[in-house]
Amino acid sequence: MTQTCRIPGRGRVDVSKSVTFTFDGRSYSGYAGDTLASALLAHGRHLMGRSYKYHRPRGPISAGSDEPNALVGVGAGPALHTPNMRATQIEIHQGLVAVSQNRAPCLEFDLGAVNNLFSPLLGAGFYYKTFMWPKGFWDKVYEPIIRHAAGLGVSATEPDPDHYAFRYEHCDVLVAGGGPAGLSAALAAGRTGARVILVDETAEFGGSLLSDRRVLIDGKTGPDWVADVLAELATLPNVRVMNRCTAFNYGPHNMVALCQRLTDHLMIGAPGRPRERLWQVRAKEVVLAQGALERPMVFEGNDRPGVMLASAARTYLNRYGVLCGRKVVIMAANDSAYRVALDLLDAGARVVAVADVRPVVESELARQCQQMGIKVYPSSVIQRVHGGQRVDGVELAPVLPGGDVGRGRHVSADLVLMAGGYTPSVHLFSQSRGKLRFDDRVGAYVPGESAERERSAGACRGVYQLEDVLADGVQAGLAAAAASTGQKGEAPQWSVSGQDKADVAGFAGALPRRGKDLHSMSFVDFQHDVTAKDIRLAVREGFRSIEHIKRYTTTGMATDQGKLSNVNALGIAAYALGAPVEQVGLTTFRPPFTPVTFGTFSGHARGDLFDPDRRTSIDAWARDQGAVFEDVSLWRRARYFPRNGEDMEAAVRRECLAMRAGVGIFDASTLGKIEVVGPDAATFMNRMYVNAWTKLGVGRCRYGLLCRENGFVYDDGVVGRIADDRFHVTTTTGGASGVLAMMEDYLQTEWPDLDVWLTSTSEQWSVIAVQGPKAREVLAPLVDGPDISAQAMPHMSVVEGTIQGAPMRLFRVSFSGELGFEVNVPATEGRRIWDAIWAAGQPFGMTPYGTETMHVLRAEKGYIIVGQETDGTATPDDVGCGWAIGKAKKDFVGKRSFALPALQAPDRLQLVGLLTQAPDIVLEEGAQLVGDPQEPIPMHKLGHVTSSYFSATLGRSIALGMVSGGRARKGEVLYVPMEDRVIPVKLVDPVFYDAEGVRLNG
Amino acid sequence: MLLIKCPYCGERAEVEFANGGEAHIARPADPSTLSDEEWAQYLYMRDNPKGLIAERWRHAHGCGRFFNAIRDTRTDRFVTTYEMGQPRPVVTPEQAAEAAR
Amino acid sequence: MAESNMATLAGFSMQGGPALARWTFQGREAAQAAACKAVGCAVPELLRAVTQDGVSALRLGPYEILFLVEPEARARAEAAWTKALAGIPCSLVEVSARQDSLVLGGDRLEDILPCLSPLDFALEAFPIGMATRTLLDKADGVIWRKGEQDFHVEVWRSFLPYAASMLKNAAHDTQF
Repeated sequence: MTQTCRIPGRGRVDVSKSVTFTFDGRSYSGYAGDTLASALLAHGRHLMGRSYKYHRPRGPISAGSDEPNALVGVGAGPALHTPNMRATQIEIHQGLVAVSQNRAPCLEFDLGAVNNLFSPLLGAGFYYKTFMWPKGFWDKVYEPIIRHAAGLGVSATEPDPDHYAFRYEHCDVLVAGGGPAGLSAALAAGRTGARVILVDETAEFGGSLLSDRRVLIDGKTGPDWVADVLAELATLPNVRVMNRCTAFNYGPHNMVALCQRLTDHLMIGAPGRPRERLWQVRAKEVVLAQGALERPMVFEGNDRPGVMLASAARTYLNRYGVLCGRKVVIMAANDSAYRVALDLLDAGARVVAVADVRPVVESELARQCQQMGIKVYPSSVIQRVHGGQRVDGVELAPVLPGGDVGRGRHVSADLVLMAGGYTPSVHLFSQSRGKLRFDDRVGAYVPGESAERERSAGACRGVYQLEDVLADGVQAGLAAAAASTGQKGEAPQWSVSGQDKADVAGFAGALPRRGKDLHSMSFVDFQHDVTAKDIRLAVREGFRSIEHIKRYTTTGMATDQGKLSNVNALGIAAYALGAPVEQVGLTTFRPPFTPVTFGTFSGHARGDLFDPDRRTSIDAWARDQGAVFEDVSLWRRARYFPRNGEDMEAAVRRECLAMRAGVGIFDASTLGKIEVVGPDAATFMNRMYVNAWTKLGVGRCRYGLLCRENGFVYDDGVVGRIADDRFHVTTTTGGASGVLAMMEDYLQTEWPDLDVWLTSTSEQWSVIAVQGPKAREVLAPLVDGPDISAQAMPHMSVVEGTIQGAPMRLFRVSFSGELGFEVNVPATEGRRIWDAIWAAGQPFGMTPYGTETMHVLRAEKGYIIVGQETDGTATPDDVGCGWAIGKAKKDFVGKRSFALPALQAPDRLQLVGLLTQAPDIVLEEGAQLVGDPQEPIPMHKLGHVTSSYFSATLGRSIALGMVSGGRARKGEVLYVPMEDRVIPVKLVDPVFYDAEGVRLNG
Repeated sequence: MLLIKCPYCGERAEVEFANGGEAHIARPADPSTLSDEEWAQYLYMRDNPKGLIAERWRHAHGCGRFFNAIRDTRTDRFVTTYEMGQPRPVVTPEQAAEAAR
Repeated sequence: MAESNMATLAGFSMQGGPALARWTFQGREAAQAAACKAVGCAVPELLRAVTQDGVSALRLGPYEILFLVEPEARARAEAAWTKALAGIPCSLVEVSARQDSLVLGGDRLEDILPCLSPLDFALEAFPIGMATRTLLDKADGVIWRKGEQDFHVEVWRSFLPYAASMLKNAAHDTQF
């Protein structure tokens, strides 16, 4: 295909580097430096998409990130496809694959265009008014159809193979925007020595200077001046300059988020490089230099391919060397339209007419146009655009002195340009909570009072004349540098020549129309297909606040966040409301400024690095034994150790029996541990835990229960008294950090005078549980000292000593109900000591067991697990642990709440054991319990199953549950209604095995 | 992301901190003397002002210390931070106006 | 652990830290003074470290000092503390096995460390001798700057592989 619209010798693309790409399966060629839009336009193609709701044919109306129409999907294959990218921002590279969206079967012939026929019914808010009858049709007919038709673009269906980077950064001055204002600001600030970051969203710095062929700065062309500034900035080590980097979120306290695109512009295959990087920059001061956007104008058919912004046509010509049409009509409200006309004429286009909405058109530029034979029509408007997939003409009409619109006449054209005036781009300012103010001079909202330490410079605050823009940037840069570092600097100055006189005129709202609004396709928000009629409808239906109008019509809510639509919408709304624009106001601009890839927000937090993968010193041994693991909080714990192809059930049965018959070994290292140290340690423990600690002797242990102030169980664990002033407190694995945080809270904020301090020792100690009747026989020969005989170490005691030369704290405790020890050694010794114990255990048939077996063993003993039997609403008494409470204690955390009537009620859920009448049935955890299985739905719930297992030791199923008034109901039969059957269960004491504790005391 | 001035470490990013709710709520010295309503008040009732709040923060991923702060909930501007145990400082009208901006 | 903690790229080196004994000390002014005097050093300023005769004291908070002790100095330090702190309310807890360290070098560290931590690592903001606890993305760590291009990082044992992987990724990514 030939580039029929490429003008040789124009533009900044590199014609020596040809690039081939495909669009909708067809091959095209362009040049390095082209965007997808400019390359397709070079081939004369404007049609690039179909609109969201009405499926109208669309082409680009802009040349930058404000583009609402030309949304395409890029990237071949189910993993790489990115939908909804703006063709005006995609830098083409060799092999790029792009497709249009929202059309079937193809762009030129789209069945969805039928929506356009129904458009009178599909106005704003139509969802709320239609599809209501017949009632049953919503689920079966309407919703599926709408779901299929809704949305824009197709997402990837396989994981993103690219990786993304992240970093924080600090600087003195962040300059967002790399046009003339931003460059001069960065230069001025950078020369003072301040740490400066300058970013621009495009590949090439220079902004508006890149489209202007005539202006000279100190005798240099705009691009040459830009190159010189960049060259100097590159020599300053305190300045960082980044292109393809969008400042997309202005966060509180001057933290600005940047999305830096690193590889999309490169040929496919930059392996190992991050595709994008998210920067979170804390800047002492910010300079916003975002420029201004030209406004489209609102008239019938203003969305046809071939209707664009005048400045875009100029950019395509001067920056990309592409002439967007040969027969041009311009709709003007601003003198810049006439410069565009002259540039196009100079490139060989025929400018058929300039219709100017203003009654008086007196500028020098307009005169030049007329001298060149271009017809200028003041007080004229475009009534409608003709053409389907491409503009082929317009209807021009005069605005009569009374304000009415006269009869129109047809003019042929293949390019219709709109020059509606300029809107300062205030997105980031608005995100920073800055207050906008309406500036009468420029007829637009500009930054008013700042909320953060920032200032705006250049066109984004209504300064348009280039020499003023440069000076404005310098002032902003120097002010930012001085405010952040105290350093004052020199103000560079440049002389500017060849620039047009900047015009602040503009039009906001819908152009006047002749006749009634019958079928209005005058678009305000192109991306969401919102028309002028929709906005008037909203006002008619009573939505008078701009916030309501926005949400009811969805204008300004698309991914372009109203860049080209907000002001026109405001104008139409104000007119309909009969109120001045300033009174109606603008809504807040939401981040991101332009869409950001999901991967960029994830960074490296995916796959193995989504969370830290915490493993104990013994993990590798378990892995080598073929253990199956489970996640407990961030830890990886062995769940069971299958042998010979066992499933979990079979493994757990074997492990339980082996352990109770002989000896088992279990890695309990993940348990939380806190060393509570100081003369007031016991006092502190008394205040925190329900138990009494003062009389717990050195070398003794107690099962500690921790409640919150609301009286509910929060955590539990065995506590050993190592010395008068030192407690070794254990917590659940998942509760470790929460318990420590809770303790620190009370210590620092309630009892700061206590002489006690807390240290987390969870990772200091490996904990090797050796449990079973043979446990002592295995351990005793390994322990260097002290004596661990039954007399020397009764159940619930702790001693310090060494084992195989490693420092040791040995606890005689049991969560299994058998004779048990927990060997605590420093984690650096954990594996060595585990290996030694394992070796010593072989003659006794020592069996490793995992968390699943551990759960069964403790359930057989009726021991609760916090978070399983408790759910944050269970008191100690509810779970049968009232005995742990120190009765003589006057006060401790939670005590006062126990006395509340609700916490004393007899019908509270209480811990019970559950035995199914059919012993092989294992109840489902979470299953509900009812009194009468015939009760009509909704049934009255009496309780639920909290833990449920098959007990090999008992040869039948067991379960624990929480039942209303459960303790008084022992012996009763209740029912578990399941989907397919009802299971009768008997309520029993929760201790199923060795209720006397004979085996514990061995 | 807020920038918070820990009285010990200086200004740090919000992500290093954990918010601790309303400040200056002392645990009753003798809870047994409180009525059920008074106890519920202590347990659950917290102010939610549109404007200045005195609140607790803990520098959880830093020095680990608790401290108090006065922040305007509308703007997220901090008026001041001060050590735990210090009384709530007086906020001048100028300070309040600046925080509300 | 050793291998996965090693990395060398242009401008970046990472290796497992030296063997050290460690104690977390907590106490008020008088106790801090006694503990530091016992091992021959002054009480460091807040967020600063001092080293004397094989013992480094890192003041991580107003009442918290992390002592990093070279193996040769261990016995002497323990004995000195037992003597000096008798009867003084304080907490001295050995955490030698709780955490381990990474030693980082190279001229790109001021770009690499900010990939994990929100601190400003420029020399003016993070001078030589500064030591502080901070985030290493989803882990906690203590970062101690011993030289312009020399950082010692303490991380809890089970978080160390994660921290090392994240640092390696950061060192790689920051090349682009």
